[in-house]
Amino acid sequence: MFELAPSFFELTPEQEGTRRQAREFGEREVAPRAAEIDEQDVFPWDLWHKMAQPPYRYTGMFIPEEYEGWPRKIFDICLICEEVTAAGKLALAGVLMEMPGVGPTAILKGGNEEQKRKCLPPIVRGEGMGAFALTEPGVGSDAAAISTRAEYVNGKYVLNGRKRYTSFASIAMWVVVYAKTGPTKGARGISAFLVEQPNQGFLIIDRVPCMGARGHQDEEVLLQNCTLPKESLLGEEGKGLKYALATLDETRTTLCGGFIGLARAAMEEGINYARERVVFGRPIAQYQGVCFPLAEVAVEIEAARLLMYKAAWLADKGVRHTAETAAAKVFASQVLLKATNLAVEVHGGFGCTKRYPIERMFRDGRVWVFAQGTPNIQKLIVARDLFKPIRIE
Amino acid sequence: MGFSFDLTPEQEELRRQAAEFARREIAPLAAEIDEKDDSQLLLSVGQKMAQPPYRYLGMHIPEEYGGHPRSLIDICIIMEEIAAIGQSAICAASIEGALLSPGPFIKGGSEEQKKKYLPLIARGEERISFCLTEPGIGSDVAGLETRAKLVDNTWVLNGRKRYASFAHVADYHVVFAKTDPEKGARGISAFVVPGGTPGFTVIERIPCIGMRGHQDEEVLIEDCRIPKENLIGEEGRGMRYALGALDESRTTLTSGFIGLARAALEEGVRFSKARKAFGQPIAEFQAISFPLTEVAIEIEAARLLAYKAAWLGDQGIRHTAETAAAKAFASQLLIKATNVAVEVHGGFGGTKRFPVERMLRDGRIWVFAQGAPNIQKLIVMRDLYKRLEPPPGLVEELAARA
Repeated sequence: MFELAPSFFELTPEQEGTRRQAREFGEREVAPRAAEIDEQDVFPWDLWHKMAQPPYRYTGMFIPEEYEGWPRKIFDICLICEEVTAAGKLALAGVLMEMPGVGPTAILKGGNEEQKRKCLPPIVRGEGMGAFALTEPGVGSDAAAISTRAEYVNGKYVLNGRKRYTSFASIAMWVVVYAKTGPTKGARGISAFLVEQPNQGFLIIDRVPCMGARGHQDEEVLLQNCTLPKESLLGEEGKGLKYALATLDETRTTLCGGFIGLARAAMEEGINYARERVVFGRPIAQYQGVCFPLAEVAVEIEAARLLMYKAAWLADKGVRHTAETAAAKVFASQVLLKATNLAVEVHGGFGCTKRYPIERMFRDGRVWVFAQGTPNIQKLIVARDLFKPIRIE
Repeated sequence: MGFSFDLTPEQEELRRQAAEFARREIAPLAAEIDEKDDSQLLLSVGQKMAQPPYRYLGMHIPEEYGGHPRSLIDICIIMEEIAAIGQSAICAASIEGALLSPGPFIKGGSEEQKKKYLPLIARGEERISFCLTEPGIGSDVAGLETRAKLVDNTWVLNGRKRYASFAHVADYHVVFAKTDPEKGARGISAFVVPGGTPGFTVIERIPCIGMRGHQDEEVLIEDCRIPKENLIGEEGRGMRYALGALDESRTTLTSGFIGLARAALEEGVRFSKARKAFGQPIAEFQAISFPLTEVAIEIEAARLLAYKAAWLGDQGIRHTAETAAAKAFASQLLIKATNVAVEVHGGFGGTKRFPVERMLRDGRIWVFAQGAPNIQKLIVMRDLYKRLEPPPGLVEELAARA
């Protein structure tokens, strides 16, 4: 009777397989370790090694084959990030999925062949870690304002400044450091440098413990006459920020998968608990004060997933998707905060104890939403897009 | 095939056509219909909708009965444009009425009934009012109190109906009444009552905050006698007929909500770029631009939920929960979007100089159409709790600690 519309909302059998496999990885390798990783707050090398093993090879998802990578479509990475995080119930699992996408960007875009061959395969093999040093004590998303300087002196670059939230710097084999070579040129005066470890001028001066996403290492770095051979400049002078942001639209998209996965895990915990916990003679699931907020979260999780899928679909088609990704990320951030908060609410006082995993998810969610640009920065991106095309007469 | 978010060129054309219709035929009348609460003016717009090439009133009616069937996704596309560009909830709702009212005839009617009533609806020539809700009964229809008894081969109806849209001008009324009061929802049958039948009286018209032009009427049914053959389909299946098309029409209704939310958003964005405060357009203040941005994001999210439900419907897959999810979400969005639009306009937004105050009033009432938001949540909740089982051991653990 009706004409069929184009195929909109189906996963392919291969994608279903990818998702199943990711779920199995999350259940088997992440979930049993989640509480311990959170408790100890130490980088879980064992998990990193396992992520690198076939058939998963999640450490190679963002890296080209010629550097031993195992590239996948953005859409498929979204599926994997959601499932691993949902089944593993741990933000750090999602963070680790993102690292090979975020850390090496400048090396991929600006590095020479030798640098790529040296830096990338150890990440893919799960043997090493790379880090990304852009944020400073006073500067975050408005990266053009960084004050770390790089000066060219006698055929070498000398870096001085301070970096903050340099994830995994203490265990990294290399760190990409962003510094100003042209201090008067704003964003176009920033260059990217490859700092191989150890380096006498690269000092980790503090590790800042964090409420959530533990196992992740937020480190403060002092660059004190950090001297580098001139080949350490990645690509061209002044193009550092361009390299840094080049893959951000992609990794922000897949990051949404992690947010959605963790929100889903929290919702599922809430539902399970509500069905069994009895108050005034019946399960609390039967009280609409409990079940309706959970139903709202379920609806919003599906909405967030569709926004992410659309952004990923655009990415895989090669269409610009900056605003769509930012929209998905704003929305998924709100869902994650709401879902984890609600799950605690449903559990009552128990929900704050270590007996249940949701207090961890709550802490994880609260900090994770700031990764790769705060929700307010994402809104700014969408707002610019929204207010642009309409002309006022 | 995998996921795809492309519209076909035909769908793009449908969208363009609906926008053009709304711009030409609806937008210029939207304020007047609201102002005068003018149902005749509204019905005249309805008749234009029925004309080729639009034929928006026949979209759920098979071709052999004069209809012009379309896929749910296509109807969603049309509904969104009509509401967004026409800026009139009630005109979009007219299309919805024409989608819902043929349901009992299509699902249960005899060949003769189909031939008689369906073309009338598709052509927009005569009006059929839908009398289901009662003063004490809404979504929980099993408690319906209107009765129908077969006496000497004539059905005799008694009861009271509320929110019977357009009953005073309708040529026919579809009335739901209990033929077997013991059986709850399965004791309800559907009847067609010709306009002007003695015993069927419109006793009150209740003015409404929004959706004006629409007539919410209270009907008294007192010993109203109709021929035996005016029973639609079989006895006891009335609710099944009434609800049969509800998943479909709720899906497309959701797109109407999204359209009106979009209209409010666009008004808000336009105004905020023109209006200045402290020397700059208020759009440059994040307290203005960020709430509008949130609305824009949620509109896209709601649209994708609606499209997904429509896509499932078009594949012949059950989509009750997906549709309820889309509708619950779009309802919240519509309330938020219209409210933000007024907020952005400030005091102007409350005046008749701008259309956003109408949208606010329209949105506030429209969300209750075809099942309140809480009923949609109930549907989602039931589905959600069915799908997830507690992990092994938790039942015992909680029991042991109790």
